[in-house]
Amino acid sequence: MIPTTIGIKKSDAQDLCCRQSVGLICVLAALCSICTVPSTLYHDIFRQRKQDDDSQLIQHLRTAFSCELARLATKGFSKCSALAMQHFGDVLNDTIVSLFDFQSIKKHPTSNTTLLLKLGGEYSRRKGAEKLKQTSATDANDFGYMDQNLWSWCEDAGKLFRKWNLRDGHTEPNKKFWINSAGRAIESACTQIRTSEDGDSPHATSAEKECGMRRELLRSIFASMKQSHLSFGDLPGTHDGNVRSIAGCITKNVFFLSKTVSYYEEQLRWGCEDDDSLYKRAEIRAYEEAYIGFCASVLSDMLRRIVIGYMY
Amino acid sequence: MKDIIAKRLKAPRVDHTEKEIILKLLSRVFEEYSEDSSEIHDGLSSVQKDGEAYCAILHTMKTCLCDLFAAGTGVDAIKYIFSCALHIVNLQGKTSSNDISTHTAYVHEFTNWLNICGMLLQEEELLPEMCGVVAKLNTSTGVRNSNEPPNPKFARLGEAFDNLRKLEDKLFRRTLNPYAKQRVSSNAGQRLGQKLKLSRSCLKAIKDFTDKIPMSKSAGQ
Repeated sequence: MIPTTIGIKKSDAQDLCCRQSVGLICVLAALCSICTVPSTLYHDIFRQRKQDDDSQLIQHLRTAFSCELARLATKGFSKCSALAMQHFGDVLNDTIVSLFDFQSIKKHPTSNTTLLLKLGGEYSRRKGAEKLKQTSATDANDFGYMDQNLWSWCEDAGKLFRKWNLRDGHTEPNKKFWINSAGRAIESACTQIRTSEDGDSPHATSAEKECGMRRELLRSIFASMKQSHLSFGDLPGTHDGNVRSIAGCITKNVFFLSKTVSYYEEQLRWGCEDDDSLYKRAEIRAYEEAYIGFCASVLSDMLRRIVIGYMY
Repeated sequence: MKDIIAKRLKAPRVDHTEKEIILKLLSRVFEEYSEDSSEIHDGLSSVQKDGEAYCAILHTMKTCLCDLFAAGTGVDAIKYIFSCALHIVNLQGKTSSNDISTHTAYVHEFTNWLNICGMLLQEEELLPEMCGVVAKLNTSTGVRNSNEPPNPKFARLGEAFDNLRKLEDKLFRRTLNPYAKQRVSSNAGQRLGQKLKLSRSCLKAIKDFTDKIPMSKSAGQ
């Protein structure tokens, strides 16, 4: 299913696989609308193998599959709808993982010109402001597949969860109530974000704004849990999987972020103090600031709603 | 979180930039959490219920700080350890003062230990020697060697290490850490300590901690 990367430079190969495989995954999701698929589909196709260094790619493809499945489900394909409902935990998990994805946040320019000025000087501030202006005029289609689809996917997932009912696999009525109210919360948060954007596509113009939108959406999910007197451990089919998943994906993203920060800090130590190097360093520090602020806000919110032992 | 974050913070070979970012995140989480006064009530019950989790976080920070001293790097990570500890101890300090559990005792001893570290760190001339002493005290197993530390200024630090170790034996299962038993000579520690230059913002975070969290009278006795 997943193309091999033999003979191609690793990063290029991963880029290539990522671009090409998403198409295949969409076809797979479409096939699910006409075929009966095994209940172990997610596990069979997207399982992480031991010492698998393609885990990022597999997660990306899994996310694309969940996204496409939710889209087809809301278009009225009953088999896709049944499959998505059956894999409610996986779809929710992938939605949350996507919301924490640092790479997609980094595609937006930073609006933290104060930090750019402080760390990179006037040149960095000017360059950052220019980039921000250019991106404001950029069409949303210039962003990648998941970035284009993230908000419509969240909305689709919201619609799907709102209609979830007991027949779809899980048992207790209060959990049904939560899934339905989480669906409503996701849908209404997406609508609110779209309305505040004055357009059909809620595309943020800066990384900071994007982080704010994602935080609001996650907060609305947690708020719906509080309303239903549920904790993460109560989620059907996920147990504390979502907490682990959030912690795991934040740690992974922090790892990649720290590698980039280290690279530019190392450059500086070796004497690369030209304007562009200083700008790049200031820019990644601005992304770090935005991302850490976003994660801290979400985690402290989670801490208020669940006991710390679940998180730590 | 324990499996992932604690492992990253405790692993000596993990890049100090990654540790710095994780600590910055933890510090912000607890800062935001303790700032919202409307949620403090829930916070209190959470601290009381999950004393073990809080102790595990503090223990992770202790290990991480000792590793940073031993490596002589990570000024920003040191800053965030003090800032994060300040928020956690503040939060825990609001719990019932009559609680005498091992967890409360650990938080109390950790506070004293970090306070002593903070006071010594603020004396610039002691920094090289301190890095060596901390690295040595942290890697020595069992009860502290009576000949160490050589400088009387570090005597209380040695006692604080001993007090923490006794509680750690009760609270945490000892795991075999091949790095923990590495022998660190005091010269090596001093050499590494000379590399470490604390920034103004780091010193401010340390001062904030030592000023706001008073050391208990019984500390070191």
